[in-house]
Amino acid sequence: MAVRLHRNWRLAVRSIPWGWTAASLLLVAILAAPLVTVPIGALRPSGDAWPHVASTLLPAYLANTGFLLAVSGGIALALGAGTAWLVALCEFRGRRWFRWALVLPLGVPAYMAAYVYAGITDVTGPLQALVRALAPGAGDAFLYWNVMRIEVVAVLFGLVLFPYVYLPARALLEHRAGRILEAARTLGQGHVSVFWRIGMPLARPALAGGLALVLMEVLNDYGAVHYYGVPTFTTGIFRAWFALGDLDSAIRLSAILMVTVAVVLSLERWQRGEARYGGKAGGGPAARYHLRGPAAACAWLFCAVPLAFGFLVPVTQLAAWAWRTAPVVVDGAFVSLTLNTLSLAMIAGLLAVGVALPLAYASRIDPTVVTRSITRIALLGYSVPGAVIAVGVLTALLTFDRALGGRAATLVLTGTVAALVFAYVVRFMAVAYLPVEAGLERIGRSIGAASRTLGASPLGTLFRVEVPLLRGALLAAATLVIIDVLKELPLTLILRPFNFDTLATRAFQLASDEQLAESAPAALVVIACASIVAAVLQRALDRRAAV
Amino acid sequence: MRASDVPALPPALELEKVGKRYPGTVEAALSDVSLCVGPGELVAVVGASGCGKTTLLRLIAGLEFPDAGAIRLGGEVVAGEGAWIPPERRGVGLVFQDFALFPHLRVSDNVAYGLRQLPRAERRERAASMLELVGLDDLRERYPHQLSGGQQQRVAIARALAPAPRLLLLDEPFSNLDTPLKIMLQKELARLLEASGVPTLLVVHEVEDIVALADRVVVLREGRVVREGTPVGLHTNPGDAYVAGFFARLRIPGCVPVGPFLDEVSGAT
Repeated sequence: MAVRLHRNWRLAVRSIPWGWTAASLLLVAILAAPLVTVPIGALRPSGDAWPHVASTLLPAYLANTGFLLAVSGGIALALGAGTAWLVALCEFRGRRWFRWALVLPLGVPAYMAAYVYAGITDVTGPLQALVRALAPGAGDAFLYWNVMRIEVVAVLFGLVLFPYVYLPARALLEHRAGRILEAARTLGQGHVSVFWRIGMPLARPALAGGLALVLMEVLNDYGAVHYYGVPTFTTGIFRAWFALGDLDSAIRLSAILMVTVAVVLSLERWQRGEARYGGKAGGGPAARYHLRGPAAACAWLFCAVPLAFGFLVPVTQLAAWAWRTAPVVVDGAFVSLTLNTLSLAMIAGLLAVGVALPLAYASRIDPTVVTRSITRIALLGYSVPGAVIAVGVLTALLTFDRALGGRAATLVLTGTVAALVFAYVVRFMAVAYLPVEAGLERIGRSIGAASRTLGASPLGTLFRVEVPLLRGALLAAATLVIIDVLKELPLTLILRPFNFDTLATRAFQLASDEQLAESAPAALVVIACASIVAAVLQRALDRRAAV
Repeated sequence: MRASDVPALPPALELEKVGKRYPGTVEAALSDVSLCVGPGELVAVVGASGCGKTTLLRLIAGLEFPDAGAIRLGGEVVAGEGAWIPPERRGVGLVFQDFALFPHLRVSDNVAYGLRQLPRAERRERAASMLELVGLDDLRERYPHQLSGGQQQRVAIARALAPAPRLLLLDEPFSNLDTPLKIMLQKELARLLEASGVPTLLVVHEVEDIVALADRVVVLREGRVVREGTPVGLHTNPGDAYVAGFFARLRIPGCVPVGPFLDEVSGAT
């Protein structure tokens, strides 16, 4: 009996794929090292500045951050869900074009949009100049109109971030809800009723996933709120750190921010687990509502307005500035700056996917609670402000270098491009991981199980079955990381090697010096790259869906 | 009153030379299809996969727009001849091949979905009586994913019948079910359709027992109607091997098929 128990125990142990679990634990440990310093630091007794920060600044940070989350999230949700519905389920003039173009705002970093709108509405900007020219008297009242307000920042976030909701919602409505929506129509329900009672409940998992991304982007932003003078957690961390010199308060504020994000993430997770449905895959899109007259005009406007303010207006203004300054700004150094930035982003994108794939696969073949929750730790980087990650990475790497160099204390990794790439991978792991995980979920377990019963190892199955099926998801994951690296600002500002610039840091520095026109060429290149990448990604995904 | 004084009811469904070609394809999905379902009739459309059966149902339900011809429901033109009535105003119940139940609604709410115009109490009553009709009144609190395939099908039928449609369309009603279940459900479906009195058009890709119960059978091949007749008529005199192939499996008591191509068919099957 004892022998038998013993053997069963050994068999049970052997059935767990230890190699995968161990590898994923190691990866998570490396990725989490820079993040762990924050909560550990927050447990230390507080410094002198913390009571002051907590009593005088914290309430404003909480209120402003909460306001931005609520308003930006609401706007992004409404715009994303509305445009997705119109493009997926209605027919009107321009629909095909909008379907493609509505991803473009994804390429406009919020801080760049913020600079542009400040420039447009400035006293010397084109808007006020136009008002003065049209109505000379009215210009005076307009002179004091202040655009640097939290409400404006919230709307700007909504306008450039809504594609995060639009894309998954559209994909779900187009590919997974066709017959169900048609059934609702044949049962005699009107357009509005089908939208609220069937369409939105079906799209809920996609809406929640997109909204979580929007909220994390809002929490991360530093450039826009800094420029508009809105005190939030992120600016508070920079201020505590760089102005007050109080690392302790910065860590505490970061810890509160991390808790907020953990709540957002687990809410999304919880509601996704609740929704065991989501429509069957395949079967083609639903019959479209043919809109005519005023309805078609409203649909057109609903798509055109966010596209105009989230993409066309900022890009046009930047192009106008760049037209003026490009002859001076664009030279050989500018070209090599562009190439450097692009290759940096691609390396980070490939590496992030290379880490995300084994992580997602390990928590799939060993789906115990421990493995799954440990993997979630690796994803927290996306929610931690870039600057906090930068310092976490610095601390971790200094320790590593010291261990490596012994007493000589030579800097092996610190201050190198490798450190920067590592920080990007930590920061954007969730961006790479979530599409891969969703892709694996979509494939289901039986295909991989079939491969295993045919004698393939987990690794062989991964490369011969899952990876070919995941091609689209892997491409999407890498591309999303590339876009994010191109746009990334605070982390790069801190961790970049000496004399190393990316397009984003170059644009930021020039804009901060009020050289908006001079910053335009670099900003324009970032937006062009990010938007082209977004458009290419979408084409690739469409082609895959069509097969 | 003489019989000729009673105004003849218009057919529940009338297709006149209907054609449909999907953009980007060379072959028409349907061409020149004319057929008719009389009041209270059960008509079966039989054809191989890809012969345009599902397109036919989608055109009648208003989910596709015909390129040619006209579709009439109870004498009213709903598509063609410059008219277009959207699916939500056609009053046609459609049972999808994969049932397409609303995954986020309970069984009773699925069935009550099309009854919004009724007051709440009446709605609930009607949904309850429909569930009783299909024998699922004890499962009304379940979600669709908690039901078996046969139960899902019965919910889909109850949902389509609840708003009292003027025509019921069934797309391959048995293709997603196991054989023992199939045999049981075919009898039950026939009983249900009889009880509801709703004119019904059903499409199948192989001749099932229920086809024997149809008033008329229409054979579709590559988007065209090739034969039309009663089940017994087509069984005994199929006319060609394609039709005979469908009816070879059917057993109708006292019916012996005749024709030179029967050897060909039995050799093939």
